[in-house]
Amino acid sequence: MKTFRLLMLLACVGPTAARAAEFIAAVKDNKGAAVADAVVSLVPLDAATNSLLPPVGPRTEIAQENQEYSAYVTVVQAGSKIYFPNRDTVQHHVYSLSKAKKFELPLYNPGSVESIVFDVPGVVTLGCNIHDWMLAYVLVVPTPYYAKSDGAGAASVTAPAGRYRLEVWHPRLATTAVEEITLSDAAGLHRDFTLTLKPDRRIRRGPEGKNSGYR
Amino acid sequence: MKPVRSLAMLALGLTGAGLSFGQAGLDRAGTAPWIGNLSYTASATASWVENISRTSFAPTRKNSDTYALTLGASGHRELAPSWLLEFGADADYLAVPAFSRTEHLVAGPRMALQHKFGLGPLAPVLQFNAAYTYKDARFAADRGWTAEGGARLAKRLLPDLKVAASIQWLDHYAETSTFDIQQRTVSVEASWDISERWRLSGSAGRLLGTIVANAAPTVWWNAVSGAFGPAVMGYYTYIPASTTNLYGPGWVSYNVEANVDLWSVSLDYALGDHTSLSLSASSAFVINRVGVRYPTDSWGLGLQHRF
Repeated sequence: MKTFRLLMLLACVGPTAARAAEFIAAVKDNKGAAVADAVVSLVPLDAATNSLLPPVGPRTEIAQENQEYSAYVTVVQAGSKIYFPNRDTVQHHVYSLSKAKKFELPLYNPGSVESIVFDVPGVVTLGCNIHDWMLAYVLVVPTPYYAKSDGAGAASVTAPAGRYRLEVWHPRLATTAVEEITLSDAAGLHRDFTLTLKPDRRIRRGPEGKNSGYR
Repeated sequence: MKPVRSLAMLALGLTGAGLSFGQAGLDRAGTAPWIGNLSYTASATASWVENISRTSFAPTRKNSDTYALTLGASGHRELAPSWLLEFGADADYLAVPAFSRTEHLVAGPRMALQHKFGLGPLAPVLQFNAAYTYKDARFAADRGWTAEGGARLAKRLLPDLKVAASIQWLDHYAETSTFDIQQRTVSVEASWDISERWRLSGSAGRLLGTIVANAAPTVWWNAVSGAFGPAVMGYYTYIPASTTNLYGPGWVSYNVEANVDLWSVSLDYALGDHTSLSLSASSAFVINRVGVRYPTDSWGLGLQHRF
């Protein structure tokens, strides 16, 4: 009986007991400069690693501060909730027209906090209908294994050993870079990515004159 | 001659309606304190103006440097989705060292109601605006209230290119009829963000209405005595005119109906998120009802700061 129980326990914990492996990416542009805000995600392809955990972890928020979004790129697993606190002294009108999530938070007063659940994988572009220069992106991925590159272009993802569809995305990348990789128990995997980025065509904020309304 | 008190009442009424409408939208946790919602701006511009006297006879035209200081406060409140009330007040002071009698301070409130047709930076914005200001001119005859109103349709064609068309009316009710003006202006403008720091903008327009021009005493005497022909004499003896000495002893100011072609171009450089430097040029080419011309050009260097 004891042996049977031990076998059952091993069967239950088996899939999650796979050794973790680290995938390290270094992202730069075609001029050799480090690229920040690139998202590296690993979507499991093996049946053993295909049972993804529901989104857990610290609260994700994109605040409105100093008439800007607090993060240019935010990445979450599908099903995650993001909070949008208005920490400004002025109103905002947060919106998205993206297929992955269309929503509006009009008449959004200072001190307001509303949350939105992002349940469909894809790119969600956020704007403010009052302050046209405010721009942010939410990348919703169907996996808990992802990371965003830092100022040095480095991103590190820890995931169980197995086969994955590796995706690299950036707001200025014409198409998402996709390839298949295999992580093994033995050692981490390191890859360099060189991205050809489109010009940054954000709305210029700039010092404006008297007007403080729609611009 | 009378200030348009009814317009002021209308502006106050609209502001009040906006406030109460805005309060109805406060169904979320936060509130928008009105003072905290304001942004403050200051700008200083030094200009060189050719034919500042708006004089028709070229040898007597006066040029001068001018210095303008503007302080402003403004805020906005979204009354309903895509409807925004903008409100504020400005004070503009113009110093003209060479002709100090023309110096003045203009101050007063303004407001605008904006509607955005859709979401996003490319959505067109229609704006209705009104302002009611007092002109405290050093020369008493020019003091008085000014009422302004207008409409403006703006559209961003590209993230870095914006165009707009506007119509504007302005009525100034001065203490004497020589300085009363009624003007209607149609204009188009465009601005191009060349880069993160540089912006090029320009405008062109046509003004119809009355303007104040000036003449040296001998020129004025020739005009009203018929030396420039019966049309000029007939018109100049009919229009409001008075000896004001604004640009020299015996100079006459007079009020004429005119068409004015306006254009301006400005190159701005953002020194930071809050401060910019601008180099501008503008021109006003005036032709009055009897064909007399008054070209005026100016070049300016300005510094703007948003606190």
